[in-house]
Amino acid sequence: MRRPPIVPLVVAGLATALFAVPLLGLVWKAPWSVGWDELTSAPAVDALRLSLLTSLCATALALMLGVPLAWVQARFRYPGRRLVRALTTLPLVLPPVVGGTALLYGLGRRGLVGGPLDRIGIHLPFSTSGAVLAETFVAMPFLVLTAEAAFASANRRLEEAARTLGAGQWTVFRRVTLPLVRPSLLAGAMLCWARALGEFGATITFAGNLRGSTQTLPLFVYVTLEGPHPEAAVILSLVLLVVSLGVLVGMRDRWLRAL
Amino acid sequence: MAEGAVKLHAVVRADVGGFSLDVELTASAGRTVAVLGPNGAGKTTLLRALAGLLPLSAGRVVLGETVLDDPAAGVFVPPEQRPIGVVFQDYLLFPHLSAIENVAFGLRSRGMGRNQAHARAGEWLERVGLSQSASSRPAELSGGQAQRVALARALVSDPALLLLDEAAGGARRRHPGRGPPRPPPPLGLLRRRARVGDPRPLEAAALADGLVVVEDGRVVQTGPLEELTARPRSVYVAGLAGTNLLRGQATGSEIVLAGNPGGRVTTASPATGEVLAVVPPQAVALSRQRHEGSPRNVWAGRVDGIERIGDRARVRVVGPLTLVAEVTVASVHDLGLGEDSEVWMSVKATEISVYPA
Repeated sequence: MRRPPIVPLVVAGLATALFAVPLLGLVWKAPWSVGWDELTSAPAVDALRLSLLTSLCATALALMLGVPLAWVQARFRYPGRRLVRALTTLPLVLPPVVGGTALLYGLGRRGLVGGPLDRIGIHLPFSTSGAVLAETFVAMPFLVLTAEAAFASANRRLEEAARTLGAGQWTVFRRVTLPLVRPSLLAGAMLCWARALGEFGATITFAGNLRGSTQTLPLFVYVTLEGPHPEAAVILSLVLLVVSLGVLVGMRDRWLRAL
Repeated sequence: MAEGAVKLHAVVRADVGGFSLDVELTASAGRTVAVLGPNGAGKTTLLRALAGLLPLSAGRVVLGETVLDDPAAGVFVPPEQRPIGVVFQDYLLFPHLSAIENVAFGLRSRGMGRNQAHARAGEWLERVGLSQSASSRPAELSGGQAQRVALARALVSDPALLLLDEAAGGARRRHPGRGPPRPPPPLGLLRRRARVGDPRPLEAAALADGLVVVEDGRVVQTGPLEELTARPRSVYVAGLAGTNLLRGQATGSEIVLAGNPGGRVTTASPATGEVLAVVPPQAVALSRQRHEGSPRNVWAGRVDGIERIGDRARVRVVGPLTLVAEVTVASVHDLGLGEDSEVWMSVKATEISVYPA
């Protein structure tokens, strides 16, 4: 194998270190002796449980809303399609705190849609549903992009074959299209879930930081770091790190290829 | 749909991209119509239009008593409601379903219960000799097996019309000596329904009751195989029949070839005007020296290619006109023919058949 020239090699090494050093630091600082106690302390368990709940709900919501969106985007040409694509991809690059602020003005008690919702008794901000919504807002684009690519690349002629065999559009979707894109949907959903699990900015802005109802794991880590027992933050950070790593390894190069 | 009475009558006008198709086609029950044509002639487009996968821009498709397509009257029966089975060129088996699930698909999507559908599908797999592969995924099947599964899948719902899109695939062309693959065994079962196929040239054409040759989206010739081979109307058809076709202007017994002012052919049947002339390759004699006092049709040429078929050789000679001569392999050796050899071709006037273009 050819050895790369020295200068790019050094820079590449530096770049890798930028990613590796903080993670090593985390492992190095981890208070292994008290780790288990910190992990099972009441507030930590609350945060863990809440995080699991909200991130799974957000993933489910993203699947319900995102799959039809991706299908429409992949299969139809309509005016404004690019605008819709830009809108639904925006959260990928938008600072989450901006997303949270926007959610407040859109769905908050005095927000554009939140106001009317509030009057009929639906209160989203500073509630667990609000946390779910904030996570969905930030994480859904990962699913939509992956699913859209899959729908676009699925062999349309197989769908035509199904139609000549008497299958109506819904049957074609359920029995042919969906199985064809299932691996990509799974990858997109995992990615979406990992992103939702780690969501911080939009959640704290829109849903607040209330233990047991909106204080998810990342929020708890942040609060704990400031407090008298930062060890708990380290150990919980490790938990999040392991989960993210697990997702990445689980998907290998699938979603990258799908994109 | 009453079997035996089914008849397809189709006038198909369709536009795809810059390509336009304008074809009329009739097939009655139990008859097989083979649509032949070079690549890109519009065969697949025609099949897609008949299956309802491509909207007609004009025309009318009637199957039995049912109007399937009539854009002028706003009639369009969607593909899933047409009693038509399709075997696609690349079979298009569902990769995520086993062979039996593929075959059962049509029954299931028409509302039959799983067990009953699988029982029927199993019978069909048995008919095509693939009971052992019922649980195999398409990726585990050979090309021939996949074709039979595709055929069973198309037939299991008892369609009134079967469309077979069979192109001469690259893999098949690699074995010219062994001849084209035999069609799957259950062909005999199909006799009662109308079939429109686009089979490998001449192989299924021999099985077909009628042929339709399509070139560039238009029908150039229809009729039984014998007529096509005896009186080809295009170079493509002549090529299928393996014969030489000349086009030119006839005056008496002389034809001046079109686009080739130096080319003159003498025939034994006087004609006038635009004509086509068939020169059977067996009638083209090759020699190293010019024949003395023999046929009047003698041209000098150069060998452009030699193809062996068994103990016969087809020699393509380019001269004032290009002809394929079929001679024995022995005579190729005797004459010492090879690529670029100088050679004389001669044809007896009586061997050339002439008919109006």
